[in-house]
This record gives sequence, C-alpha cells and structure tokens, in this order.
Amino acid sequence: MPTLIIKNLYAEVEGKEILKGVDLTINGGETHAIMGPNGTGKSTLASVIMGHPRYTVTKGTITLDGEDVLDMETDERARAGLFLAMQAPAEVPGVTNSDFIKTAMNARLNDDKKLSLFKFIRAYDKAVKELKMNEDLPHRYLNEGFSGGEKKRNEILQMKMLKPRIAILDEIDSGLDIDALKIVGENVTEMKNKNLGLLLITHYQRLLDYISAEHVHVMMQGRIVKSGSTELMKKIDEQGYDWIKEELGIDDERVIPEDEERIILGSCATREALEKE
Amino acid sequence: MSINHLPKVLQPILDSLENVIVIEQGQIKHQALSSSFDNLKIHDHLMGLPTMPNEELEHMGKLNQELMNSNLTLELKRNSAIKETLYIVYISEDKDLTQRTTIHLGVSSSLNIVEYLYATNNATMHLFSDIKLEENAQLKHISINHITSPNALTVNRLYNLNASCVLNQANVLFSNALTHQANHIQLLGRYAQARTKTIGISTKTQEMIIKTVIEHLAEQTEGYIEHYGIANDESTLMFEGVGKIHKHMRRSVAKQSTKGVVIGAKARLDANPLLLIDEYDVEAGHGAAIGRIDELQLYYLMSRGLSQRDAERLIINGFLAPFSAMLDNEKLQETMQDLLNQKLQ
Repeated sequence: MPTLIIKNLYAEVEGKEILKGVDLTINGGETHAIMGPNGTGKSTLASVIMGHPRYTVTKGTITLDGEDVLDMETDERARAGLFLAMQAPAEVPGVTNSDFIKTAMNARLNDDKKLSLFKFIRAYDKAVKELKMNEDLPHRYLNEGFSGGEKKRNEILQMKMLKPRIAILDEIDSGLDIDALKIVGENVTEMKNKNLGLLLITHYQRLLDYISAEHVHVMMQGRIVKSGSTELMKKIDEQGYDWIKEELGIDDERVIPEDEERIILGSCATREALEKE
Repeated sequence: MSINHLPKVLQPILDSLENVIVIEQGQIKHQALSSSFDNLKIHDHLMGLPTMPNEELEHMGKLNQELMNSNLTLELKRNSAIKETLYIVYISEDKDLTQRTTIHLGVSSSLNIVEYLYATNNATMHLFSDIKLEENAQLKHISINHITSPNALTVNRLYNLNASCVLNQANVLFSNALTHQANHIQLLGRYAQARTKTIGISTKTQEMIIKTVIEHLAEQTEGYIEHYGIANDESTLMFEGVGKIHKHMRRSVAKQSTKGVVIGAKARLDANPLLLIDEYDVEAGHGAAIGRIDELQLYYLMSRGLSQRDAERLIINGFLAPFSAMLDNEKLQETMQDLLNQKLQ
C-alpha cells in the first residue's frame, strides 16, 4: 500500500513564493480532495509533486513510501508510481498517442522484458471504448487539435494504462460537460483500490458527486487551512468559502494575483503566436 | 526484387520496392516496372540544358554538364496518370557520381517519384535535376538521402510549372556529408501550385545548407515552403527560403515556415526567410520557431515515465511525421526512423 507524505512544503516560481507550508498524507485506498478558490496554490502543489521544471522547492519534504521524491527526476517519480492528470497537457505534434503510451509502458519494464504488442493493443482499445473516445485516437498526435474534453479523457486513459499508485487529478472536471464528467467519474471510481491513493484538485463540488472523496481539504494562501470529511464539502457547497476566511481571519486567500495567474501558468505566448502563423 | 552486387544495407529496402530503377556508377543496373508505366519513356541519352533563372544555377548546370557521368531522362506522355510510385535508387559506392536527371511530364499527366540517394565510402554525389511540368500536370517528388560518405553532396533542382500544375515536393536529408541543396521552383502559369518541405539533420562538424526558392511568374500562383531542422554537436544548419512574387502576379500566395531544434551546445541553426514581393494584391507570410526542445513537452512526456533521452527521441522523431505521411512504403518509413536515430546516436 503506497503512502505519500508531504511535510511543511514551500515552493516558488520565478522568485515568487506560492506554497507556504503544505502538510498532507495520502495512503493507498484513500481519496482526498483539495478545494479552494482560484490562485491559492492548488495546481502549484500538483506541479511541484510531479517535478515541473519551473517550480523550485525551497523547504520541506515529499516522500513516497519513505523514498525522497524531491531527489528524483520527473520520469523517476512517474516510474515510482506517481501520476498527474494535467490541467493543460502539452500538445506534441508528430508523436502518436499509442507510440507515446507504449514507450511509457516499456519504460516501466526491465531491459530484458518487452511489452507484448498484442496485449497492449487490446488493453488500449478497451480503454478507448470505456472512455467513449474515437477509435482513431491511437493514431492521432498527442493532444494536438484535441478539444478540452478530449484532452481530459486522454489523461484518464493514460492513467488507466499506466496504473499509478498515487494519482493526482488537477481540475479534471473543468471544461467537461456533464456526460464527459460522468464518463471520467465512472472510470476513475472503477480504478479505486487499496493500492491507489487519489488526490483530486477542484474548484467545484460537482466533481465529488461522481468521484467520492472521504477527505476534504481547503487550500488558501499556499497551505491547507482546513481539513475535514464530506460534511466540510457540503458546507462549502452551500455557503462558499467566506465563513472559513472569517473563522481563520484570512483577508485575501490568494497567493497568485489574478493578473499574474495566466503568465505563470499559461504557455509561452510568443511560441503560440508563431505556431499560428 | 533481388539483385546481386548491390550494397547489402540496401537489400531489404530494395526488396520492399515495386517499380524501381537502380542507377549505380552511372548505369541503369536494374529496372522493374509494371505495365502502368508503359507511357513513361526512360532514356539514358541527354536532353539539352534548360534556361537557368540565375547565375548560380547556370554555374551548377554547366558544371554538371561538364562532369556528368550518369544521365536519366523520364518522359511521361500527355494524359497519363500513374498512381503507382516510381522509385529511383542512386548508388555511389566508390566513384563519384555526377548525375543529371530530366523529368518531363506531358499535359494533364501525373507521376509519383521517390528518389533514394545512397553514397558510401568516400564517394561524392552531385545531382542536377531539370523537371518540367506541362499544363495541368501533377508531380509528387520525394527525395531521401542516405549518405554515409563524409564528402560532398550537392543537389540542385529546377522545376518549371506551367498553368494549373501541382507540385508536392519533399526532401529528407540524413547525409553525413557537407551538404548543399538548392531547389528552385518557377511557377510559370496561372494557378500553378507548389508545396515543398525539407528536413535536415546536421551532426558533428557537418555543414548543411538548404535553399528553397519559389518564384511566382504568373497570377494566382501559390507557393508554400516548410523547413524543419535539427542541429546537433558542433554542426551548422542553414535554411534560406525565398518567396518571390513578381510585379502584376496578383492574388498569389507565398508562405513559409521554419521549425528548428538545436540540441548540440555548440550547434548553429539559422533560418533566413525572405519574401520578395513586388505586387500589392498578394497573401504572404513566414514564421520561425527555433530553440531547444520545448520544456513543457519534455516535462509532459517525462511525467509518464519516459527518460529524458526517450522523450527527446520521440519529440524529434515527430518531426518526421509530415514526411512519413507522404510515403506509402512502410519499409521506407521505418528506414527513415532508423537513419534518424543512427544519426542522432
């Protein structure tokens, strides 16, 4: 059973401190949800756990089964069992979905073993069907020209294929219509077992109608300010976050000012402009 | 197809090809064509040199004329549309090859050609191609080079397109040699259209210079240039793309794009896109994206467990996709991947 422990985590991006002492423990079989308003550091936490190159950890520790995660490269973290379904996954032209996931699965095997192509194709086709995606998916280029909903489902498809031990779903629900959300919810729920710890990051309580979470946390000012059970989630759904801010004497919950959010989290605008030419 | 005495490395490729002409040391060594090619005349005698659009090509043409030791002329009759692909394999193992290839497509004819250039040991290879499309003709012309010789490779091609012609042209440059490629495309008749793409991979101390010119000499002509490059080690890779729209050639379109990745710490990749436009009523543009491998793409692939090396390899292989898509021979698609990976090892 996997255990991910985050202790007193501080992290910054481009010299700006965003995480300010996050503490969180996720065990296999548990589902945690981090909720909170925009700009409070939720997605930053996900990116830092996975080793996003633009974030720097300044203090604190992350361990997976006692192993120091911060000492690992991103690919080593993935092979150790971490998975992040990204909010805005990169588009990679010329690389097909099936080549990509095949390479990822082969990377998990020892040198002398090789993935059985037949088994792979069967498993992939099955996952495509279960997520109700188009049959041509394996031959399409990775996320290129995908709609928002297709990208999210493709993330879950990868999760199904790679069978991680700790999976973080970063706003998997944003931009999904209700049908797609149902499909994603069913598929994630089906994967739940004692060897999988789940962390859901979301603005909306709606996601938790489809993937139940027994641990609910609220993030503000770059750390977890309140934890509870489904009761907490219900209260947030009914009353919003103001009562928590009042209770804790928090004036401004954000760590990322609204106008900066796009610059830090968005992709390079110049590059996009060029590609559009 | 099995032919004795041809280089062993090429055997599996040759086996996979139907409709092939093999030229080795200036002689047609093998020719196996289906009846679809009955309307294609194949000569080994000379046709005269064409009128050259500039001094540089004039010079290269004359040099080729003087030193030429191999000639191939293809002539396709009017109204002949051949769906099957014609493969032409040029082999140069020891001696230098100075090749002239002339292709003439009659009115409303169409042809698909894939050239495979193979030179090894210390052989040099110099190609001069003179390609003419009569009205409404269509040509798909792909060139793959597999040059292990460190010596020079020069390729000069002149395309003349008459009215309503369509040219789809692609070049895959895997050579280890000092490489100069210049393709000059003249759009002589209305509605003529040319689309050309080149991928160059330079390694070690290699210098690779790739020049593509599309000249619009008629109204409503369209030209698209795409350049892809990967520069490794201490190599230099230069792209020059020229879209030239002459006066009065209204409603013409000239576009180009360059996408380049610099892997080597001391490598250089230059893109010089030029739009020379002497008319107002046109559509023109160019874009270039050159740099290291995209950090966010790498992060994404690595976040699924791919090592940095595997992730880079996959992203770079992705550059080949537009070229693979133009080939319907799987063996050649595979060969291209292998050549790329060998080159980047």
